[in-house]
Amino acid sequence: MANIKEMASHSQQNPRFGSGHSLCRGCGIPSIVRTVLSSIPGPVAVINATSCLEVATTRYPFTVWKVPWIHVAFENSAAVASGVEAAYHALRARGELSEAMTLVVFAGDGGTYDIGLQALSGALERGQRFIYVCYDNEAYMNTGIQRSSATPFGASTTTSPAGRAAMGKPEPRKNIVEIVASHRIPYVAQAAMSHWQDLSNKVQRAYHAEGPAFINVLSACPPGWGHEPRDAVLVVRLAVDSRYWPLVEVIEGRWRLTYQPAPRIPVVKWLALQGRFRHLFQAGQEESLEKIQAIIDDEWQRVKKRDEESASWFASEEAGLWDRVPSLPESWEPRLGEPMWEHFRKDSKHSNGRVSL
Amino acid sequence: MLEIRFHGRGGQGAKTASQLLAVAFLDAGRYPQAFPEYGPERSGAPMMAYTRIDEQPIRLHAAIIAPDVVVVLDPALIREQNVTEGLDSQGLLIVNTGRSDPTISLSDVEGSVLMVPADEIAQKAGAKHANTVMVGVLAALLGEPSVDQLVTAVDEVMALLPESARDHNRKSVQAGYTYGVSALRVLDDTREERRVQSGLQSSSAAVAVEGTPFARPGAMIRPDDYPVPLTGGWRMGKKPAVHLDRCVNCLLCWQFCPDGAVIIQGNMFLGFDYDFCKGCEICDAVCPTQAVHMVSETTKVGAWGELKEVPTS
Amino acid sequence: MTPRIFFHNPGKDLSHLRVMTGAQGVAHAMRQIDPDVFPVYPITPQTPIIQTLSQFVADGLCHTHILDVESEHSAMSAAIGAGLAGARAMTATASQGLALMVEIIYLAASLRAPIVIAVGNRALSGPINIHGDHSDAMLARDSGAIQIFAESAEEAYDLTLIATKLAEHQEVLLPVMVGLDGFTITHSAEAVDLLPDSAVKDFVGPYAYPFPLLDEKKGTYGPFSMPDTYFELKYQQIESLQNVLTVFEKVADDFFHLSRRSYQAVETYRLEDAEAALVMMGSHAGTAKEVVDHMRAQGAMVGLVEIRLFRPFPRNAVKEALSRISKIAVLDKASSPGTFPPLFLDVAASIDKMSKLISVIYGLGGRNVSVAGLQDVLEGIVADRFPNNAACYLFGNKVWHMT
Repeated sequence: MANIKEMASHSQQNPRFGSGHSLCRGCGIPSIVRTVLSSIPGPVAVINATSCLEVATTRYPFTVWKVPWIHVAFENSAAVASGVEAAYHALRARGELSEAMTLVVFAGDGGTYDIGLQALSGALERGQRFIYVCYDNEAYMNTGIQRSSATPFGASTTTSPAGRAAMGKPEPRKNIVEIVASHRIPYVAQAAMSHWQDLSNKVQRAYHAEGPAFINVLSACPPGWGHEPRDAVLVVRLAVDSRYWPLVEVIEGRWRLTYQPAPRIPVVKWLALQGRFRHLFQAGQEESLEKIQAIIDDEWQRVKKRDEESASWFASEEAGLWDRVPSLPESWEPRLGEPMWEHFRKDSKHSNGRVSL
Repeated sequence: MLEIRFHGRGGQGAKTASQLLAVAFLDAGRYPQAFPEYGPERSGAPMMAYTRIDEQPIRLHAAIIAPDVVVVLDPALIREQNVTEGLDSQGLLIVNTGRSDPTISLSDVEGSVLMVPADEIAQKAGAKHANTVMVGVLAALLGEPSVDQLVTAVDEVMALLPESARDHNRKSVQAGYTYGVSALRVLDDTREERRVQSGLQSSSAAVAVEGTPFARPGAMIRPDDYPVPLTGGWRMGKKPAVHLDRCVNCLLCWQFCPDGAVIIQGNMFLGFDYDFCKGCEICDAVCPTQAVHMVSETTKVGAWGELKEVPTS
Repeated sequence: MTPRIFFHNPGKDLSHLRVMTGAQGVAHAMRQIDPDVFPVYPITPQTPIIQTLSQFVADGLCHTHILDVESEHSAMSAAIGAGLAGARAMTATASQGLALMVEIIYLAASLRAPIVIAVGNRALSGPINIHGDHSDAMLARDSGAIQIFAESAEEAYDLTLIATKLAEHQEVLLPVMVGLDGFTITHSAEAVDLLPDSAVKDFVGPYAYPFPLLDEKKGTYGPFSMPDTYFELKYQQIESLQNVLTVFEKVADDFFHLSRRSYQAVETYRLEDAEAALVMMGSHAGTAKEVVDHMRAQGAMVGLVEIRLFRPFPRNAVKEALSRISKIAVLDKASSPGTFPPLFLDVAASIDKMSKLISVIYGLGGRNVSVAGLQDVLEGIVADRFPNNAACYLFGNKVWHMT
């Protein structure tokens, strides 16, 4: 599994996503894109749906991308990827491409859950091999924070605004991981921008999947969620630790939790950080808050049950193959020993009320 | 026709300022038009907004290229945009000195220039942004709309904001107006008069804009086709700085920096790239050893943000 | 016993011909071209194309990867992905499928993806109708794609080959729609002279996209363009379509040397000394030739202008062809409610205003286009039965127009 230094080394040797884009201050997307691209060995080509990422990185005539990159439209990134994949096999068969290449799709939640779902489903059913990464910031942020089917219950957006007669979005979000997993593709996962190691591991498993792989990654959006840019990592981390956003993977139909948040943190802690839920803290909204907690508890139980059901399979030798993923080449030397991520998590004296990572 | 161009960054309220002015001018018996110019950028990116005012209904729907007044909400924009474009010797440039940068030069401006400490005025009034202050200043310099008309317009344009925020903006627009009235006395000595005529300005028709042909078919771009746009100007007065002796090279700041503004070599942290840092402060938030600090833009640091002394706060 | 009904002359040796529908002809062309990728979604009356091609693949006669996608929108999207990646991609569609695809045809043209699209031209809903007319093609009229219309099954075969070479020409690199009228061509079996497989392979050559996505150069395809660049990029695309007029001539010439079958952007029939002429495209131009012959035999000075290349519109050739014709009827198998139909407008904008011009809408939703009907149009214009710029309809055998 890649650690942060391997990724750093990889990204210096193979720069894939540069600076100079016009994504917002504190945007969560670039960290996801860099982690994904630096967890994949060998050449990569990117297929991008219309989204914040697309418009803010390719303003003609400048491009941030240092890999082959194509955008056609909003709803069809999985279909474009299907065509690229078919062409890739043809070129390989003719000997016109010497090296194996990984195709990565980046699309937002709108381009995945809503308008792009049909194309995604078709490509998954055909078993086309690519890694589809949905960066999920839970609304149409590119066009100014309109609700999508990824927007959670109670969130205020410009098309599900809170007001005297409304408490934000009245419907819970769609569970895209379950929908994708129903296609019985080799690898499905849910990750979060804050948990980069977990994300990187999942990308590497996706890389080895012989068929389509799908990873839904929670990304912070400071203007859309209404928090300070500096809190982007904290907010996503709390989404995971409050069990709102379970980090799971579905391998050959078996579900498991890849991260056990403990101890239990009530979801209001996460909600309270974000302007989109501010209205829920007014008097009379207690029921909505309870409902959000109930939705999360219910979902968590469901995931937990599945996790327990597959525990024996994951302990088996067959499942173990998935963990035998080769690491990236080691070409780094630690300067001050190994005070890594895990170290800081255990060492509470450094937290000081900051992000405890 | 009076033409005003606002330069701001996404989130600084340039669009709101242009609309506020339009609403107040209608109250003053003029026909207004207000419109923003959007790009693919997000909050923090340079953008423009325009207001047109006339004695007759405005039929013109074109960008303002020869403005009478230019209002700059963020002085750092002077480096990123040609804020004086189309401004002639009778024109007026109003700049929020805000987090003033001594290296910014305005020596080649043809018209009169007024520097306004609008951030400070807004802060005193409790307002989050300097946009309403700048509208107040502008109205005072133009002689209309009145301060009452501006206050009413604040309530209309900011109807969705909480009452406290509206109150702060009412105060800041008033404070801006007061500042403008006093500045008018100083400015009057130097300013050439411009009497605004009804209808199309001849200067608007005279500016030549030419298109450029592009070579590569299909709008395809190669990585080195065009210089990388710098995004350092997006910072809002604070920059990250580092105590290298506290840094343990965990590279978390590198991992989470959205802008690729953390300089590393191998697995060593070296510092910050101010050309690209947008000032989101994530590096400070995730640093486990408090090696990273947000400091004022004017604080002297090493080329890559190295701090020599530990700040006391 | 002597037969009661019999041909006067003995049969010829036609052993070089095969009977097939237009759809099968197109499928044979595709088998011979053997594209790398064929993303497609079934729709009447295109379906026999993809069914035939699928069987060819199943029988090992060609090696195309047929990608059975979930919609025409995805078909075009995947074709763009494949075509830009560096593989030869084609697709086929009709009617509602084309309507769904149109968004992405605009992108194919803008991204300069040389994709051949066989279109079994069919009416648009509603009401839903599966039969032939040109209203689907007209949706993509302004997309930047090249459009060619076939008159017969053999033409559909030939034009698919020509379209491939045209699309991939280095000075063109644009999608080409080959229109074959739904049912009247797609499902009508006719004698077709297939060229040898090897001759076709030599004619189209290998796919050589000049700047493929999956090369070493790491290009960004399909970026975001602001008002400061969009217009120039669009201009470049408009210009590229204009190049097609000369390249089409060259490719058609190459094809003539191969097949002895000649194609021009605008074809004329018995126009030399004609007083009146029809202007039309697609299968019914064949019927019109019969009508012209029939009327000529009776002494009427009539002719036909057949538009084969509809986009880019060969303005000068149309003007030249009609320069001595004083009475013209433009026949559109499509409508444009609220104004004149598309072909009429293009012709009207191309010719000298001295001629008398009328518009006739015919054959919508597969309505039979009879000899008598076309003859009534010609007789009507010869006899000056209609006012200039009359908007006429050919519902049956008689021209109908509001008086």
